[in-house]
Amino acid sequence: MTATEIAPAALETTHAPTTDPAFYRLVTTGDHKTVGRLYIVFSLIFLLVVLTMGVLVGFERADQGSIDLLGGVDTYFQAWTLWKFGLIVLAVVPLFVGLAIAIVPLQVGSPAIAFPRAAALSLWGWLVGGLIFSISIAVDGGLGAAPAGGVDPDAAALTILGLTLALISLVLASVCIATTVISLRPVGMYLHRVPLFAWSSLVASVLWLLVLPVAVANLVIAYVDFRNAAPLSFGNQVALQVSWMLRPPTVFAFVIPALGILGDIVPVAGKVRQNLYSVLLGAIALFGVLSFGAFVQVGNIEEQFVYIAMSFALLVPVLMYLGGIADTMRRGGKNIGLPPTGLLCALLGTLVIFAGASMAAIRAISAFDLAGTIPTTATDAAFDAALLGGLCAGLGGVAWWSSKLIGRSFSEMGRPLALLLGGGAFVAAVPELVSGFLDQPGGGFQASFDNVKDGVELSNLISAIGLCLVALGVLGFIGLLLKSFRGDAAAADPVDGHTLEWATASPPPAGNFAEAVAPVRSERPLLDIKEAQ
Amino acid sequence: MIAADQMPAAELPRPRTLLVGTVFAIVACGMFFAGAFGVYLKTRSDVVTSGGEWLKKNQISLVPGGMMMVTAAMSVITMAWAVQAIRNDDRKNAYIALGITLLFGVANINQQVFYYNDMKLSVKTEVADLLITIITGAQVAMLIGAMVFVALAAFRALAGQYTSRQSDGIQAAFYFWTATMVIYTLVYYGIYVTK
Repeated sequence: MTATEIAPAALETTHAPTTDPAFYRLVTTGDHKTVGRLYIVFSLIFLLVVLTMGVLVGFERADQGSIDLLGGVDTYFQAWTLWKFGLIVLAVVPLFVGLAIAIVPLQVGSPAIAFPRAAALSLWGWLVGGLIFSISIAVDGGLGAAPAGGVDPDAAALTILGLTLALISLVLASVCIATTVISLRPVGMYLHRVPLFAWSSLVASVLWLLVLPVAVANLVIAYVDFRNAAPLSFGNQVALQVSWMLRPPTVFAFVIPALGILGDIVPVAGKVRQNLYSVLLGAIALFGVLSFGAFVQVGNIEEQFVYIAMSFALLVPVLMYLGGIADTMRRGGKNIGLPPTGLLCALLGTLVIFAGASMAAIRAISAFDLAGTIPTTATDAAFDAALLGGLCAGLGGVAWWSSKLIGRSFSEMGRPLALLLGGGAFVAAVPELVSGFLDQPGGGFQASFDNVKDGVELSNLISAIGLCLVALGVLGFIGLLLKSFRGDAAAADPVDGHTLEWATASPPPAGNFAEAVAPVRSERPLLDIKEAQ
Repeated sequence: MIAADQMPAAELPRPRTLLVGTVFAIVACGMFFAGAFGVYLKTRSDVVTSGGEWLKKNQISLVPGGMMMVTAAMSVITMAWAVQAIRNDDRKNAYIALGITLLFGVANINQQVFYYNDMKLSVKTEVADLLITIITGAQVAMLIGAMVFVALAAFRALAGQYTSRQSDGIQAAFYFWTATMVIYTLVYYGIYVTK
């Protein structure tokens, strides 16, 4: 156990404002579990809004002849903005951040997260930024003006401000998560013994630290330009300027923790050790390196060799990782039986992410002209697969660690929902690739196009139906999560876990662990103890 | 003589949480400036390639920028002096060094304000002026952040929290301060010198 001046458990008990109202305690909490839970709750609420926008945009595109559903090009662009940027900044990344803030300190045997007040600040900053972003779009804002129309300049400035605040808050949360994994591990837990979810959270946090500030820089420039007569003509095109966030390889940087969730669940469900653990750690790190895409903000880079090579190379770590997981599933298959909801969600989500990486590779082939001067919806296909796959895996993580998050086990009635989420994500993404081959331009500036080939409308309709399935899956998941509160209190280790988060009560007490964590000897410290007994 | 297996265990190192967190924060700040510089260099290249004028002739004099460089370099030295003093439990020198560092920080902001007046930037009409204002403004904001960090470290040092055994806070402030000055050096070269 690492030494501290005052045990955080003692700190929490001595400073806990027990006589203060519950709301005050909630707002001022520095407890990482509460902060993580709040991140997850708010990200699920935002997710419903964002998915509604996605479904509306999808059905709008299913009819190329008119823009009836959303009422105009400006409204279409606003809905598209909320759907695309919201899915990243308001839903998927915060879901992973919440899960990481709640679970990673437990996994690394730490009594608290690093910089607990900064983690809490990041939550409230993100929430306020997200609300400003969403509400400003609803009052005729948006990320710049669509070419054919206009938006309210004050509302548009607010949109930029809200998105910037949300991104800065996520950067702050990334600092807390990465620092926890680096400096709050117990004795013996070297980096090659860190649980896969904690490791993937570290890799993802570092990637977010490298990528999100670049987006913030672009947004700050856009905001100042927008408020100063726009000499740069940048403010009017701010969505274009940060559109690299919506394209491969950056989209994959947002879903790195999905790999870790799957990697932590499979060996526990199969009751076997993970072979070649270091290879899996390396695969996650390589996936992170290859998903660094901030350099794509420079135009015309998508036809260059480095970009094309990176698009194909991204498949290598995913294949390595899935190979390792497949081996574990083969060895532990008879113990897995009917897979739990968490495993199903994480597996299907990771497979959809793999499909997204494949689509990104296909998109990069110059001969197909999918990512050329006018990018096609093949870009949206990779986006949808990566983010919706990540969402599916993230919800799998919530189901798997629900006993640590809410003190109740997640209902196993959730298995069909996993199929709905994973299947829906796949159905939403693949037709976008087909539409790309049919020359449908990507992006959000127009709802209908003159030069597309026949079949685009059907393809768009199928994609919209896929999004509906995902939305239904999310609604069902939230319903089951609420229903789980009525279940019996979960045991400390209901899944017969291998890592330290299962060594404490469900939900964990203040300070997380009743006793000091013993020195760690392998990547599965709890399994070591169980085997020794 | 005590046998090796009977000796008390070596004291565990303190988790260097603040140092690690500061390094991550520096990385994030660095990427912010990398992104902003990316836009600046790309826009400048586009303007110059199309035959346009990036900055007016003699708009930027190197003298104020050079003076700021000297101030920045001296402030890094005084910050290092503070770290070394606290490591030697020489609290008097540490307070003096931290105080002088903060003074250099104020001087740096004062020099930047003078520089803005000297350059006569018109952010509403000139692209170059707008981008220079944003990048240098962000650097000043980072400098203010670094000054707050140093001030907090100084207060904690006054309260006796930092000693030769525990100097993480002062060291972290030193890292952040140095990063701020490294970024100013990039601003100086990338904007003022190469114009």
